Amino acid sequence: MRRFFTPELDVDPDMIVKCSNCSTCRWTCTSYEEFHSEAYFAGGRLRLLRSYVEKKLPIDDSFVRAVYACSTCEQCVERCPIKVPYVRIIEDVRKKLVQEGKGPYGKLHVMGDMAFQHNNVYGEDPLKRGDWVKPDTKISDDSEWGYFVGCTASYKRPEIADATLRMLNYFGIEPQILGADEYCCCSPLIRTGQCTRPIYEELEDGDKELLGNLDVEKFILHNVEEIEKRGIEHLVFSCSGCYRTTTLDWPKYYRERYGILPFSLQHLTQFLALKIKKGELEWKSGYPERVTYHDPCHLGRHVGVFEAPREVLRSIPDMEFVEMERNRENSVCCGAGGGFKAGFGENAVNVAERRLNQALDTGATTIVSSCVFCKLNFLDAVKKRNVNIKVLNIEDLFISLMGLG
Amino acid sequence: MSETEQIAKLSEVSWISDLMSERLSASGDTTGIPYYHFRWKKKWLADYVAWPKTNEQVSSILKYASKKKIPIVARGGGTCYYGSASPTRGGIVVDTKSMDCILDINKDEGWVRVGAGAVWEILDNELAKQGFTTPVKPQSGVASTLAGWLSIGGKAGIGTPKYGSMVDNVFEMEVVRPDGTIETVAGDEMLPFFGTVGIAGVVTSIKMKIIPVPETTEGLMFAFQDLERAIDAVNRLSKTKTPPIYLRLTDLEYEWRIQGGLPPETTGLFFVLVTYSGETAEVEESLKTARGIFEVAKGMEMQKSYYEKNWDDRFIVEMKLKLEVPTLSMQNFWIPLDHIGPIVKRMYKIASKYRINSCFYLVLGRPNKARLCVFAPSDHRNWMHFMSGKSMLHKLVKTMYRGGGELYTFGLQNTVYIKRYQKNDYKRFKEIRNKWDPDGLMNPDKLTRCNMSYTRLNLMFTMNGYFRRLQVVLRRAKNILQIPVSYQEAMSR
Repeated sequence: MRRFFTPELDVDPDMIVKCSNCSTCRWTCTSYEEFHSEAYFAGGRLRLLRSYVEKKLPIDDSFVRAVYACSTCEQCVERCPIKVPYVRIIEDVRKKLVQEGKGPYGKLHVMGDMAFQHNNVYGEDPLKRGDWVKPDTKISDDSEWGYFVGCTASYKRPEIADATLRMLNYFGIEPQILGADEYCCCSPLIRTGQCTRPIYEELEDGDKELLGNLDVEKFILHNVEEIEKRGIEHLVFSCSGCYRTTTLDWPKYYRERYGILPFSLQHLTQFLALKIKKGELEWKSGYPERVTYHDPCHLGRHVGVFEAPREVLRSIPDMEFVEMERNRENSVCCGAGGGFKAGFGENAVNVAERRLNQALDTGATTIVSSCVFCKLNFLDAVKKRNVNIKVLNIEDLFISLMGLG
Repeated sequence: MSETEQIAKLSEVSWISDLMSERLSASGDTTGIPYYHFRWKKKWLADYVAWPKTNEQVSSILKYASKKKIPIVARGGGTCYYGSASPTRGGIVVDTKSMDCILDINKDEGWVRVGAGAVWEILDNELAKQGFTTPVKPQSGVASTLAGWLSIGGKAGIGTPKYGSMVDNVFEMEVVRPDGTIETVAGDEMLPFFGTVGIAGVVTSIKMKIIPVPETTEGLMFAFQDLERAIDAVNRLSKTKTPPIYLRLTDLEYEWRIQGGLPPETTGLFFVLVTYSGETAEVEESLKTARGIFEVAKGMEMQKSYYEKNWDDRFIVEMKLKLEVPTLSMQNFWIPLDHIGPIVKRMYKIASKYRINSCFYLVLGRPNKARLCVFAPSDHRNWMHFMSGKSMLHKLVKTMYRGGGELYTFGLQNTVYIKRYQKNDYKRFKEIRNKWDPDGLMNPDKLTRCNMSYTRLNLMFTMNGYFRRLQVVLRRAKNILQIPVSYQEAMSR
């Protein structure tokens, strides 16, 4: 198939011409709702992309900004009458922009720099990755169960990691954690197009010195080998971003050369739902409040896990569970994904605030999610905009109701 | 700057942008890329994009444009297939979608006052929370705006056979004239705004009729082997005591492309879908009548689930055609039901002669008048195939004018036909332009002036037709898109 070749972008035309510019995806788009511009929704971006490619326009900052102002929440794909794989296209374009040195947008490159140097996107000490483990919780080094903690829970929200570990302990599982050997799952890197990128260090005289090449494949291979080496057969996740990347992206990098991943993957909501089905979970107390559930994009639309978290919530005694108007496939993004929060912080909080208001419209006093990033962004909105609602993850609820916290 | 302050410099206004990405994305519409049809445009790229939130802001930008002689293109959802919202001489694209709030609602009197940039689907969702709905809406309601449908005429859509066209359901509108004057118009004063793609000014808010959400909405779908019988059924259904809210006629290729095939054990080449809404007893009675009409016309009832699938897709049927079609050329006719048969037959004949694809769908606008959409599915990268489709559409336009009827949407590309065939309309548009916009700044090159000559267009398509025929004779005319087998068999009979 003939491709559009330009010095800067090389995009498969079959992907772009599929879009009929019908704009059906516009009003559910997270970034359109925030920016109200035709350049900031899926169809508009594809129109833009085609114009830049066909007219051989030089890539300018406004184009890069438009490409990165997307939370890759996939609401557009859900709405699209012909299911144009928009998120795949936009991730490819971001990858190309990074290769050409035009991306990533703003300070997003810091995540790549940090991952290269510290194996986590926050630039924290890799040796302290397992420091969140408290003495009264149990981990082992020979269990067939493993817990993939992720960068955010390891460093920024250790209470999530702790709650997940306690939950596993409650069911008699003493999982292995990789600690310093756990590298970033690469979700933020793949989402922002930083799959391969030269990493430079800026010297005092203004020159740059090449430190090496960031390559997500190396991260993924390392993680898979570590998990395999330890004999882990079942890997549990508390982070929806990590779970999505492991489920959908790791196989892309791994399978072609090495075969299928040698372990099974479970999000903690699936783990809990299974325990409820087997009758192995009896809640010790109830939660007498009105609760609504927010579907994280990575867990819901991307991977298709909609019912497991709901089954868990519905099983909790005294809880009045209500759905928001837009739920499951039509759920609204919280604004934290796809590098949107890292690149457009205030806008991401605006998006979260709107979602929290939708939760308040149901009369709910608590919004529950099952994603580290959603919780982080919602808490930001609660703090900065004074939205009066409790924000919890399912594992938080679990340890509090089971008296484990 | 405050809302009422005059604009001194566009770059100083926070809600106006000259960024390349904004200009590019606001310069295109469903036609595809903004520079598509570039021969029809002097300058396809807007110089500025504005997002006014109030009519005062619209007024200030129109005053500025009028003073500086800068073209203005008012933009709604950008879902027109004919370049209505594409600039032809640069200028300022005024994106009205930020004016989308419900301003006032009166349930007792049955009206809502709403920003003209509101998207139909969002408005309907909001009204539904209060137990109301809009009586009429376009088939592109998931993306198009109130003022967008208004500007292309709003004649055929969901609800129009029962409740009339959009103009019949609007009580008054707030508009900004090309010179920046803000006015409220009602009755006949509103007519210059309907179907005139914004040449009379920018509509900023609309007071329109609302009705309680109907008790029941149900329908039927029947298949026919014969076009005449299908049209006969449509004709009879359009004249029943209680008109349907939606009546659609499609052919096999269309159904096949949007639904990926017919249900098992269903045969037929033409399909009629009819939907009624209202009180349960009334709807049941209408369905009984409709079933009788279908049976007399020897139609075969289709599975309920297939009807429901089609009804659920009512807002995206046109877009779904793109499932397997890279480039979609289409033409819209507004014609009496009696004239449909000859046009459709001619369409098949030309498509067969050119070895290209063709399909159609028809939506009833009002009793005996329908919007007929004919499509030439193609891939623009295969030039001859693509141009042959365009050539077929051109020939169909001529056939349509000979039989009586007019084009449904005018926009940029169809102005050339209005000038030649719809002389009265062309004269009316000129009068509107001369009265309200003598400088020709509002959406230039639409309706009253055309950069393309009809002779050149006609020659181009005629020559293209000959070349394609030659290709067919020399067996070099490849059809690049798949056609359903049963359809090909029927066509070859």
